[in-house]
Amino acid sequence: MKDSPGSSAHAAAEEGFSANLTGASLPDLVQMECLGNSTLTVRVISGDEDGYLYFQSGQIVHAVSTNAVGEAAALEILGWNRGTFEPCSAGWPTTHTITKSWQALLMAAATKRDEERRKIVDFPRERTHGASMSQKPPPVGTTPPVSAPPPSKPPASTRGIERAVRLEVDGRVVSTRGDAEELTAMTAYALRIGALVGDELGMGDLRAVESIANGTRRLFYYDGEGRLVGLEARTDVELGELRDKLGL
Amino acid sequence: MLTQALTGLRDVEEVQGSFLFGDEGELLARDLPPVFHAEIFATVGPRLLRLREMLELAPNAGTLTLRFSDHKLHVRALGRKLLCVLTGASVNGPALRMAMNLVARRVEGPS
Repeated sequence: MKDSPGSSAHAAAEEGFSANLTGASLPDLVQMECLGNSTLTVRVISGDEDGYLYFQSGQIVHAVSTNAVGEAAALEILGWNRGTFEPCSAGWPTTHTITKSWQALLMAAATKRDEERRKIVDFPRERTHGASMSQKPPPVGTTPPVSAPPPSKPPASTRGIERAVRLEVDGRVVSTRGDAEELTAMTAYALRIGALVGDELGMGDLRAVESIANGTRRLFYYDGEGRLVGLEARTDVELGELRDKLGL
Repeated sequence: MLTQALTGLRDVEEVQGSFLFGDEGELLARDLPPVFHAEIFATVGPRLLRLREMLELAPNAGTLTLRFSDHKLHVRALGRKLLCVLTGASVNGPALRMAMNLVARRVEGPS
């Protein structure tokens, strides 16, 4: 198993093919390295700009550009439209500055590109009302972190909640409200399945799951201490404050 | 035709793609960046179907939202199908609901 970009590049020089691709997009090349579980450093040059992407076991773990380091650098580099992409033996970073999956990074870069494109062709808009539908949301990655209420305090608005349960990660019930036996199982299962789906899609950590069905709203989330919480209420019950905290 | 129906969702800012599962969790259509390989949907579909079954989502009104660090996955039951939309965290909810309603009409329409 290759464990450093230098050894990877060296091994590549000794055996296998070298290629000179024309017309490939940078996301295609990045994807190729990630799907190949590569560990290497790549230098990307685009006009006067250059940057480095560090791959470890198929994930982008670090990036450096002239202007930035970490995720910001990766997004900058992934936004370049033309240039060259070549393995190099730049020093390996002492710390990893990127934790996002490569899929999430490519998507964030694509979103950034789309937004920049929109800015170029944006039509003039009338802003006659307060909160406009066309108001631009903050870019991906700037969302404030979700902080669920601490376990000792119930959510500020708990009136109307019919059933609730709080349980440890291993399934031990900490507290309940109402007949919460079925809700306990639902909470554990919903958060588990949600996390698996998120892993498969490269979405990062699951924060919460919300379902609305047959006049009932269910919320499943992790509290500030990593415990699992499940709540059930009629859909007309006001849970706005909690939903806002959970980013729903 | 189904894929074409899904592309309309991209009119809403922060929508990154969408996909549609059949009643067995099989992928019927997708409008997603190529970073998502077809194989992952073979497990995502049945899992979302199990979640739907547990939560008893009503055939044409049940909704499910999964909130991740920077993204959301919005799931809506369309008959026995599941419409899934992947968005950024700050997506405009009302605009997305309307776009999903329109897709729902097209998906359920003539059949």
